[in-house]
This record gives sequence, structure tokens and C-alpha cells, in this order.
Amino acid sequence: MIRIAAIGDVHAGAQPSKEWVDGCARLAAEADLLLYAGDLTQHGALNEAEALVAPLKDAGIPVVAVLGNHDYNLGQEHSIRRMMERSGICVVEGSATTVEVAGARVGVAGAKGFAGGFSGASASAFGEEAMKAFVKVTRDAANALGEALAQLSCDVRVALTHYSPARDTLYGEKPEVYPFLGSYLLGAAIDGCAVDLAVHGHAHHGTERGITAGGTPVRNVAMPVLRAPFNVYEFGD
Amino acid sequence: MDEHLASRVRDALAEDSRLNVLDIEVRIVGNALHLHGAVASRELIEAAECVARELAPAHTIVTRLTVVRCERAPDHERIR
Repeated sequence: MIRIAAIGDVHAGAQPSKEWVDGCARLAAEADLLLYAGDLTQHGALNEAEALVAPLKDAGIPVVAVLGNHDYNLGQEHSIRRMMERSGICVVEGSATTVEVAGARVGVAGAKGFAGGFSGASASAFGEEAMKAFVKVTRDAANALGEALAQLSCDVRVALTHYSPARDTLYGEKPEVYPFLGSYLLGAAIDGCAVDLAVHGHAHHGTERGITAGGTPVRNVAMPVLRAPFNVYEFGD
Repeated sequence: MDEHLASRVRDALAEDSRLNVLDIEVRIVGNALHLHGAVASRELIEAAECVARELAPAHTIVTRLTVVRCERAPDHERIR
């Protein structure tokens, strides 16, 4: 059996909560791989990311991560990424990695993603240059995610983003903010690549379980949604 | 306008470097400014009260903010 743990949006300040750190000690007993869905930090500072990474370094299982919007706030995202990689965490941003788990290959492709909205209420690249630039960020992220997914050769294919690829897992949020929480373009990229599971964070008031328009299972693993140190998604016997 | 003041406070809660919290709900009822939501730490609740007080000094700040808990055991779900 393949056991994939996932969590995001811990938003560590100077120190992550003791409840979460204590929970991380159970990772190796309950899972073979951890996916972190972005927003390690509250303010975007390197020292916050270091505080969050410390218990993950000791978890004893591989960790694959994307960054979130909070991690970009102070312009320290490159330093945060380098620190994570020095700590043994694989950061995927328009890229993919394959991890051997229980004799099977788990492929994880990731991108932070961006906003833009969902069918019937999404932004278009029309009018002002600012609007076109906004939509281009999302399209570029979705294209990069799709290309990374397509290059994977594996037994279980997972898409990891911070922003949501589906509307379902936003249920609980105010509808007015849906366009700021994700984009159908991420979902379209995922649905084009036979993905077994899509994992995201960002939507603190959303719902854990949903599907994309194409039927791919989606899980919102933001810690305020799970209220657990992580949840585990299982494949195979 | 109460609605504009609530929006300014909400923007400040997201942009102020003491907080950077994007999802606190702000409502003004009479002379009271209410803060609703869940944040990552006790320090952020105190900072939210401080920012709200700075922007709305004539209002009473009513805090209904809680700290996000991580109290559940991990759930295991079979995908396939």
C-alpha cells in the first residue's frame, strides 16, 4: 500500500504550534511520503520557514513541497526554496519528481498556481495590460503544471498546488473570493494528464474533498480545514 | 461609511507586517467593530486588535478571533 500524507498552510510564525510539531513525529509511522501544499510561513520570512522545516527534516520520510503566496510576501522565496532543498525537501515549481514507495513509483508534479476563478466567473486576458498580465501568470502556471505532469512515468500520479484547481473544495468560503483562491486552468491541466490525486491548500474555510470538472479527486489539505497535523491518502493493497 | 471602514481594516489586516492575515472578517455594527475568524497564533489576535484600534479609534473592538487548532488525529482515506 502507498500512503501519502499531505498538509499545507501551517503558517508558522517564529515557532509552529506544539500540536503540529508533535503530530509530525507520527509521520513515519503513518505515511511513506509527505506533500506540503504551500504557505510554510505567515509573513514570508526565511526564519519562519526554517522553524517549520525543522520537524519535517526529522520526519524520516521524503517530503515534496510547493511554496504558497505567503512565502512570497517578503521576496525571500528563493532563499526559502534553497533552505528547503538543503534540508532535503524537494520543491516542485513547474517541475516533477518521482519517489519510490512500497515498490511503486509515485510521481508528483507541482506548481504554486495562481488565482483567476472558475467556470462562469473567471478572468480573461482582455483590456488593460494589468489584466492581461494577471491572467498570464495563471496560464503560465497551469501550462508548467501540465508539462510537468505529462513528463511523469509512474504508477501513481499526483498534482500538488497551493491554489485550488477545483471549485468543490472551496465550499465554505464566500463565493466572492473564489476567483482569488484558484483557477479552472489548473484543473484543466490536471484533467489532461490522468492524475490520480490533486492536493492543494490556500482555502482555509473550504472543504477537504472534491473533484475537478473532469473527475480527478481533489483534496484541500489546508491545516485550518483538516485541523490535524496531516491526513493520509492511500493507494493499492 | 461603515462598509468602507470595514474594507480598510480588512486590507490593513492583510497588508500590515504584524499580521498578513487575509481571511479575517470585519463587520461594523453601530459603534462596535467586530473581528471574526481563525488565525495561527495568539500573537496574531493581539496584533489584529491593535491594527483595528489604530484605524477605528472611535469604535469599540469586539474580537471573536480564535487560534487554529490541530487537535484531530490524522484521517486515512483510501483513494483507489
